[in-house]
Amino acid sequence: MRLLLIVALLGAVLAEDDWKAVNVDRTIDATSQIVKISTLYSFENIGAGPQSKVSIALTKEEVAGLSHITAAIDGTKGKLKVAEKPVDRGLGIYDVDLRTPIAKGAKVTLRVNLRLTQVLEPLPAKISQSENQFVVLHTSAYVPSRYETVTQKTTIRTTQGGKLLSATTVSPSKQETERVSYGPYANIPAFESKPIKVHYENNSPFVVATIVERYIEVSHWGNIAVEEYVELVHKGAELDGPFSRIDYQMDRRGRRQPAFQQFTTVLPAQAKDIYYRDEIGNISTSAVRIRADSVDVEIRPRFPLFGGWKTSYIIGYNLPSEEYLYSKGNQYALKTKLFDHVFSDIVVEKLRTKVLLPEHVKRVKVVTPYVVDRRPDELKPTYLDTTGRLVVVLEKNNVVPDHSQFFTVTYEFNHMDMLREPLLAAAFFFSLFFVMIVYSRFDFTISSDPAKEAEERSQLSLEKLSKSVDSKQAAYDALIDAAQHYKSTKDEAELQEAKKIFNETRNQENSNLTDKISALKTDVGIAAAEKAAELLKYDKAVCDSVENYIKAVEKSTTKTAGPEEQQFVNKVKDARIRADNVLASI
Amino acid sequence: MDISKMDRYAAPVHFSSLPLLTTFLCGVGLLLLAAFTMLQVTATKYNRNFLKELFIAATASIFLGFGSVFLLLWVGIYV
Repeated sequence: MRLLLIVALLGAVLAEDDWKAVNVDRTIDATSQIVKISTLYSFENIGAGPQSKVSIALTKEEVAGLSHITAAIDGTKGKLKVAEKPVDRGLGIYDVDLRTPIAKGAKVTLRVNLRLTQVLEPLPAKISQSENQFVVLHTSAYVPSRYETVTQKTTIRTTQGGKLLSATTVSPSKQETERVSYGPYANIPAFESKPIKVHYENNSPFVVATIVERYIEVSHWGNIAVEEYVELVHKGAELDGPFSRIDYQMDRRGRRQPAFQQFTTVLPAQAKDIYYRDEIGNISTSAVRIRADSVDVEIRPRFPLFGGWKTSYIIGYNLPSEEYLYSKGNQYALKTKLFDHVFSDIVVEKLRTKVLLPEHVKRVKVVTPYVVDRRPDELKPTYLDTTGRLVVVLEKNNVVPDHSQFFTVTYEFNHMDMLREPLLAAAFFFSLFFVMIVYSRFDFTISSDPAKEAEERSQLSLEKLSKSVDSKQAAYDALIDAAQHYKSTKDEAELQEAKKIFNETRNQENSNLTDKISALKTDVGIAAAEKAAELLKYDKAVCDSVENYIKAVEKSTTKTAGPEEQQFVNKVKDARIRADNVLASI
Repeated sequence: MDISKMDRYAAPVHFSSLPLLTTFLCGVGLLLLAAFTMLQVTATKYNRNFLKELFIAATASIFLGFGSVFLLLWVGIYV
């Protein structure tokens, strides 16, 4: 009876362990500043029925430095959902949703990838320029697990060609060049741990970006401007003592010094107008290489970064909107990288991505591939803006290159709003013109100058007079044209009509002239008016000969102008000259 | 809306046509500006024509407004 009770209790306790880890193969890649752990779990369902959730355990250190976690069924591409659970007996628990339930007794193979940042501890913490950098990796010889593990093995990859100072021995463990292997261990109970330390040489620069501010400015005129502000700190072993440029140049380790000398930033293939600068100005020690599917910017900061040193810079480029902006009606969607390549194995403490959308956008929605903190929207006024552009601010801490993924911002925008910018510029120019128009209507003269005013008035009258003379002459020309036309058509009525129009025009202009001349008399003076009166009579002789001219035309049988007609044309020309003389004399 | 159902967004004015547009619009705008200035300088207080000045000013500012926006785009200030 008592035995039965114990068995029942044991059963109740074991009921939690619905899975058994049949085989675990863990590889820890600690060659750079990011610790990359790839674990292949083989789980067997020992529960009462089918299950679709399995738990992954992480040590406390791993949880603290965890930046990125992915889980997938080995051999497939689809990523599984991973959810964080409360800490259990000192281990961080993450639930993996397997999507399809696994039958009782069946096995599933999971590949879990972890990216840990800032978990390697430099030892010694300070080194001189000529020394190499050594770091300590703290982990457990046993793979942390919530379930009992039948067999397991761990391989730790240390730097190629680097020294291995020490590694905790947990039999059977083996130290080889470039790697330390632990295991295989058989039948390790759940929550068992065996802390180990691996002290090895790691000269890869531990350069951390304390902040990366990424601006993505969308212009509907066909451009997406990207700018990144990057602050870098070397967080490896600090430089102890002085820095010598000569020693640095002559260092036989070359690129393998623990200093950060140069790096390559990979930009999208369509990137153009690339700039790389800092507070001082352009940094000329950079080169752009155009590759088939990317644009590589080779960057060499102003000085090499030793432990504890900092630098900051700005890199920017333009992208065509066709590649990243989509539209349908007034719906727009921007699909671009939330975080893009800076250099391989970068660690970013704080990533702030700002998306500057055009003015007057509505219903902005952001879809990100992983959880980010959306800060309150901002307004940023730039060129030709009235209220300022909407800025979507997204923040994320502890970012690694695996976070370089696409995200989508959808919004509504009325494309007629694009006209606002040129119209704003036009309104600006118009206001300048308008100021000119108003200004020119003010009179700022201190004393009035009657002579000048009279001069201006007579100028105006003269203009009017000459206009009347012009139309009178135009009437003669029209008459001559009509006469020429008559010669080919022989249409009597047309000619009479033209003559009538001519007479009307002439009388009209003469009466106009009479009015203007009387106005001139009051404005300018009697002398001028008398001279101007000549304009009424100057063409009298021509006018009298119109009848003769018409007759001559009617009689004429040839197409070319006869002597009488020629005479008339000359008379018209003479009249014009006479009128001009009269105008000039006034 | 699903992004796969959307079209790629192309700019209303292609980059390659910006220089021509800028020179044409700014050129016409500057000519009109010159005409406006001529009018302002030569006119006396007896023969000012408000409507004529306003018309030239409005046309010039439309040309200059569009021209200067295209100029900004041409030089790389994407407004």
